[in-house]
Amino acid sequence: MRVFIERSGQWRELQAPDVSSLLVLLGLDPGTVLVVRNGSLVTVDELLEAADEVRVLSVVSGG
Amino acid sequence: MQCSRCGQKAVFDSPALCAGHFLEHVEQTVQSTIKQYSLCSKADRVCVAASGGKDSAALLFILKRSGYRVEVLAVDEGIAGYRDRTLEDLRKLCGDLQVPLRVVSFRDEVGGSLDVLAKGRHPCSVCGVFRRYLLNKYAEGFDVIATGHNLDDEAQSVLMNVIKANHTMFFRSHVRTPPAEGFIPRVKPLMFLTERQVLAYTVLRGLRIRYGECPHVPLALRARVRDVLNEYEGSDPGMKRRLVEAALHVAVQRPASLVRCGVCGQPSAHQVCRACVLKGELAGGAS
Repeated sequence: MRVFIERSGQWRELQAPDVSSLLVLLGLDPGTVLVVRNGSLVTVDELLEAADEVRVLSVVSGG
Repeated sequence: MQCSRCGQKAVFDSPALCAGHFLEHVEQTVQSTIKQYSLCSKADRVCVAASGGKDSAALLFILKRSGYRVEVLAVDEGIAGYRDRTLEDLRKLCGDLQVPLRVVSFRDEVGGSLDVLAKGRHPCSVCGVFRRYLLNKYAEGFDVIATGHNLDDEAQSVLMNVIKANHTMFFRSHVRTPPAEGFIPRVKPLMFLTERQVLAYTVLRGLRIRYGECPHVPLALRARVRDVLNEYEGSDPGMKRRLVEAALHVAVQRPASLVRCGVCGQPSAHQVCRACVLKGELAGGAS
C-alpha cells in the first residue's frame, strides 16, 4: 500500500496487515499520530489492504 | 473498535467514539469548559488569537459554530517557511467562516522579523514577549482573548515551570486569567482536550490544516518536555490531565497587580514593560 508520512513529507510503499502493525513498522508511537485510510480516520485495529492509500498525520505541530 | 455510545465503528480511541459522537464530545467539552469557568458569554466580543494551526482553527470553528461573536487577530512573527503558510490557511478559514481577520507583524510593530530579532537570543523568549504585547494592544475593545492552548500545552507548561523552579508561574495556571486593570482576560476553551483530539476534530470537520512545526521548537525545552510527557501518558493514560488539574487546584486566582508601562502605556508588572525593555535593547544592539 502507499503510505504518506506527513512529518517527513515522504511517500513509501509498505505492507502491513493492520494499522497497529504499520506503526510498529514505522517506529511510531500510536499516541502521537492519527491514521487516515482512504480518506477516513481509523483506529489502530483497522485492517489494511494492498490497494489502500494511508496517511500518517503527526499530532505534534505548531510551536 | 466500537463507539462506546452507539456501537458503530469508532474513528477515535481515547475515548472510543464514532465520528458523530466524537465531534459531539469535543464540542460539549468546550461548552462545559466555557460554562464551568465563565470564560465568555454570547454577548461578549471574543478576540480569537489565531495562527492558522490546528488548535486555533478548531477553536475558531467551534466558537463560531456555537454562536459566539468572534473576530480573529493573528501575529506574523516573520518565521520564514512556517508562519506564511499557516497564515495562508487562516485567511482561507476566516473567509469560509466569514469572520473578520486582522494580521499584525513584528516587522511593522517591532522593527524586524523574529528570524532577525532573535539572532544571539533565545527565540521563544523574544517571540513570547512581543506576541503578548501585540495581542493586548490590538485586542483593545474586546471582552476576552481566546487562545487555542490544549491539554498538552498546559501539561508541558506546568512541568517546565517545575523543572525551572519557576514557582510564581506554577501558581498561576488558569483557564481564565484573573481580572487586572488594562489587561484583557485570556481564556482557554480547549484546555481539557488533548492535542490529538484537536487534530482529529479538524480532520473530521474537513478543516485544511497543513503540517508545520516552528523551526525554533527544536531549541526549546518544551520539545523535550513534550516527548517525556507523551511517553508517560502512553503507560499511564490521564496523567497529563491530572498534572494540569493539580496545578489549577493550587493556583492563586487573585487579581494581578499591574501598572501602566511608562513608555507604551500597556499594562505591566514593572514601570517599563518587557516589550519596551527588549525593544530598547534591540535598538541599542545589546544582546
